[in-house]
Amino acid sequence: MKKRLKKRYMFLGLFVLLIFVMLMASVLGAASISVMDSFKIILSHIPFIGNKIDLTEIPDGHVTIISNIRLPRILLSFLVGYGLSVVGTAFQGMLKNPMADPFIIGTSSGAALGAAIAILLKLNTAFLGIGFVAIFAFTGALMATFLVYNLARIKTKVPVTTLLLAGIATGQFFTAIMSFIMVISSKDITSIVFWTMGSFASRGWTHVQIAFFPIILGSIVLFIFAKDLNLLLMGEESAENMGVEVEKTKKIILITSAFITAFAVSVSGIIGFVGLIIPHITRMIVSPDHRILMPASGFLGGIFLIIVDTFARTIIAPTEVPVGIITALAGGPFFIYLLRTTKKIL
Amino acid sequence: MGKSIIVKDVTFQYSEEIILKRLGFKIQEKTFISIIGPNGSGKSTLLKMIARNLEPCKGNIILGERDLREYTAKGLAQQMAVVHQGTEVAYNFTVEDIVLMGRHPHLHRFQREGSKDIAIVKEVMKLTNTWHLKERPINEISGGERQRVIIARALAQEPKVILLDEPTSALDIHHQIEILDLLRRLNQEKDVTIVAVLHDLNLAARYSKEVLLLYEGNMITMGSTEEVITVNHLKKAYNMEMIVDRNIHTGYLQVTPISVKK
Repeated sequence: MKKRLKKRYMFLGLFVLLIFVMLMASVLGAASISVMDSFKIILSHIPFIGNKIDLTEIPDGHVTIISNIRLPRILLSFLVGYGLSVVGTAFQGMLKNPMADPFIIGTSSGAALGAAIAILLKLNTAFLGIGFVAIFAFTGALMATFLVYNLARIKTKVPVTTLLLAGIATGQFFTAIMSFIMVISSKDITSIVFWTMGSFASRGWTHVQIAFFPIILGSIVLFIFAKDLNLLLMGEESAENMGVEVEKTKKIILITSAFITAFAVSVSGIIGFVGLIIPHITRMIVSPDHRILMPASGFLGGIFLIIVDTFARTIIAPTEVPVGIITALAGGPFFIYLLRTTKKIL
Repeated sequence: MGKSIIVKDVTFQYSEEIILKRLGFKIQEKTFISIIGPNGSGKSTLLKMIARNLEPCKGNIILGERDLREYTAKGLAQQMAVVHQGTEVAYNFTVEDIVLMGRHPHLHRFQREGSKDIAIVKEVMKLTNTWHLKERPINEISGGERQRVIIARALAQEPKVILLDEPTSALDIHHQIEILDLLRRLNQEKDVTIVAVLHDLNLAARYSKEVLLLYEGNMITMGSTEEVITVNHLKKAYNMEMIVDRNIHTGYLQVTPISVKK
């Protein structure tokens, strides 16, 4: 009972933190807009109370900057961070391996390759364009995930070494094909860099609309399997003996994870390390219980990516830095730390 | 409580290599049976097949009145709990959380553990002498304690049969005796059928009511401990000179290996 109360406070705390970070992110940037004004503009987008907000004293330019540029970008980075962290948590649980995340497993590269092929075929400009890109991304993500999983598996176990080798090899290979496709199709190296390192530059409401439902619904599917993930940590055979349909559960988790990753990558490119760091930290400070861990790391991942993206667009403004560079700057050393500490457990 | 297990003409093979050859026997309800045999004789494979972790290539296994294949995952877990080798848990749950996981087969997907589940967990933790560990992280307790926790988790399933794969192999003699005493008590007081793969012949002789002796995928013999633990039977399986007599202090059968046959 105490746990449940604690959990409620924690999610309340995370929600307050999210609002605070969103507000801060919305006022940072070239145009200086006050916190109060920004707060009012954001509130005006919320259904029911939105039309009661008086925006007449705020300059139109400011309303446009917040409403059409910064707010969608903040929401999108939250969604992507949320999705990647939930997927990372699911992977780390299912593979009983704290080194797993959609970037390292190769899922993100697969999705990016799929999306690049769709763009090459000019499917993005056709009717239901973005939908096609996402379908291609999903196919690529699925292929990469199953390929790495089967390459890395030794009987029923997925050891760290084979997982890392298979994931990195497959990921690099897919990324190379993707970069090649983009070089022949666009010759625009900058856009390739932004795509392979991930970026939220010039993303708007359409991207939020595309990503919102798939990522939220996908994460709900994963939440449904939270208890099974807990049991899987005891070993696949033991989980089976406790009444988990292991093979079915694994398939659903892998497919759903590929689905979420595909949409995250379709709107932002390949952002690494978020799905690795956030679940790990959340597990340490909150709980290893997936029923709490998954939503909590989703929230924290979203908040983290809002902060990182704010850095990305302000640090050497007006030049944008791909967010992936900053997450890798934080994630690289963290990855090495994990490799050193998990030796003891594994 | 207690359920019988009938193994009917079961064969198991990995590609060409035959691990178990046309085994057939019946495990009585409420018995305590040890499966013994040299390395590679198919003990663990047999246990995993009874646990439905592996499916027999030919033949079938009947638990109670029904074929194993007819049970749902949760339905089977309500009847039978399994303690596998290796008790490492990937992330640091508390001991109580681990035992609570044993309630899974009795809960619906969205159902939380209720007061009944918590009461059962408390009872099995007291029985296994793990209640005082409940707040401790699972990977920070000793091997013997962790084995007791895993057995508590199996008991939380309220099973009629418990299968154990070498539950004492990684433990010192103190903890070996502690675990086997616990299993004997569960067998006697709760009428749970116990099926254990054991390496140590003396422990098998001391604790089990019945013994099944395997050798290269064949069953050499099965029966009461007195009938199976004889020089003739053991010689066939282990290819050794040995002496079987009674310990003058405890009165249990004891096996003393003499030399390897050339």
